[in-house]
Amino acid sequence: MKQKLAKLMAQFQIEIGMSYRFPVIEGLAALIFLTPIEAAVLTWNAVSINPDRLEYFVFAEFGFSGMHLGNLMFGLTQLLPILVPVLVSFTAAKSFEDGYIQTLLTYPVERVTVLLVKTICVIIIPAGLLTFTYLFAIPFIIPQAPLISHVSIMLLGVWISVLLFAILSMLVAVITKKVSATAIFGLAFGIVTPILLNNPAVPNIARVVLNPFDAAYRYITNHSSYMMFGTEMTPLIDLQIGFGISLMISLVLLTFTLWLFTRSEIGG
Amino acid sequence: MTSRFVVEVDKISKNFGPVQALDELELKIEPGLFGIIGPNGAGKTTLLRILLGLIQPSSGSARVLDMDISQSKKIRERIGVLLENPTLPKAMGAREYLSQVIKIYGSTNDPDELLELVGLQDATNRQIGHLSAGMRQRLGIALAFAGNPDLIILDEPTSNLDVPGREQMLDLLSHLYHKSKVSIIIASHILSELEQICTHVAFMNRGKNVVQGTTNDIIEKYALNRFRIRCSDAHTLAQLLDGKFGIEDIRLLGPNMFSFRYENSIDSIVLPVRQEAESCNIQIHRIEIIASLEDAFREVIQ
Repeated sequence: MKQKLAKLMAQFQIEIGMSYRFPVIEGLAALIFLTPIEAAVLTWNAVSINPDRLEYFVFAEFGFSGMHLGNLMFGLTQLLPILVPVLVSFTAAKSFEDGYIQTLLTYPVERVTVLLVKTICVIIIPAGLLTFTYLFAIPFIIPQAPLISHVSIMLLGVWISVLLFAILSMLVAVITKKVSATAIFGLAFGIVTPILLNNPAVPNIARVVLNPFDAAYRYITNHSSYMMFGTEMTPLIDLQIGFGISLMISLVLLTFTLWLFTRSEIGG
Repeated sequence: MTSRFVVEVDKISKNFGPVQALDELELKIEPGLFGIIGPNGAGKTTLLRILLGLIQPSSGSARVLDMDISQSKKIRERIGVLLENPTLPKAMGAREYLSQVIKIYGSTNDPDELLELVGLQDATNRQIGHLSAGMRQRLGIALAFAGNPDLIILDEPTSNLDVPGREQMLDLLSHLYHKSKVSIIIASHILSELEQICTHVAFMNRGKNVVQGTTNDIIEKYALNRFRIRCSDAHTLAQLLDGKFGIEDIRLLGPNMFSFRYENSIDSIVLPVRQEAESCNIQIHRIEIIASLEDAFREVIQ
């Protein structure tokens, strides 16, 4: 057991050493940190010019302190569907393309473990950074305590979204074994999802399934798209069902990706 | 029942779409230093990838260290591998990476000892991306020895190396073989190198095992008592000489070159052969003895 754990840890260390050296993590952290910082600066600027606007930001329009938490992350809800596939392309797809996966598979490792290690890294690193950024930002920007339920909904949205985007991109990487194809998929996904999210014809649950992070943001900010795009506000029950479906889709896709990888030819 | 062969390949075929990389290949490899020789595209790398479980054969079966290739992970626990132009994590240090690979094998080897064994004791903390091609190959050899293997598979271990680098690599392999007595399989298209260090060889061409045996037997069978003539018109001269002066088994090796078998001293027929050539205005550039693995390979493949 101890030896198995040491073996697994060695695989994680190689994955980190191979794929997450400078500037990957640093760049990712900068992107994730800068977006809410930018939102914070804009908010404080507005407030410092006219102190009365504090009330506007806190209560007047949206009524929830959670709105600010959501607003901090708004840029990231749009960025995440692109960011995660690009990260997968730089980590998993790159090792397919440059042949490192071949080297790795000459060692006594299971293919399932190899792909799981890659998937776990590509989920934990961006989702962990997002979680940290989100929690770190709370005391700096919120004039009053956020609702615990809003924090948990937002974080759940973050993790389920990263899981879904990472596994989808991993599937593309395993099928194409190309960096460019995986990155292009990310860009396409990032462009198509906002269009679908803002389309009134798309049901609420489908919108939650497509981007749980964005749905969580919209829910806690009480930011009804109805106002902007004519779509209805997502009720809590739809949010919960959407999260569940998104999670299930992720797990089914993960199983399929692992199955595909164990049968794929490496370096043929 | 344990097999006396480290690798047994039984009628393996592999197709990549319309391309047949392996064609019912049969091969039995005994313990020792074994060379798999063949031109580019002969199917050497495809065979090694099948043995490692990276790709599946279209048909046929194979055993490595008496285990079926379907038990890929168990096989990989007992072998060390150096692929052709291996990709390694450039940002990791040589020792750092080797240490992790040792852990994956569950071995207790000391990474510093392994690095010293391959002459990389001064580059332990250097990033792999900053190592020269020769040093990277040496690190690859150290990685192949990381798990105390019973068999080592090397695919074109001297590719990308300059002449001194190649010689150093061959010396290292020979030294490691004699020190560890671990069986080593080397796939290469550079015959002169394999002739230097391999006890047994197999010639592969177009996905088939053409000839197999000890290096000396193959040279003796296909290159001893054989001579080669380089001239301006090999086809005409070969026809003229066929059956004359005790010359037999003529093989055309190209428009300007042919080989033949002659049991006695070549000196006795140099003059009559030159006279025959002059009578047809054919210029003989050289008459030479064939006695290398490369010549034997050329004889077999032609």
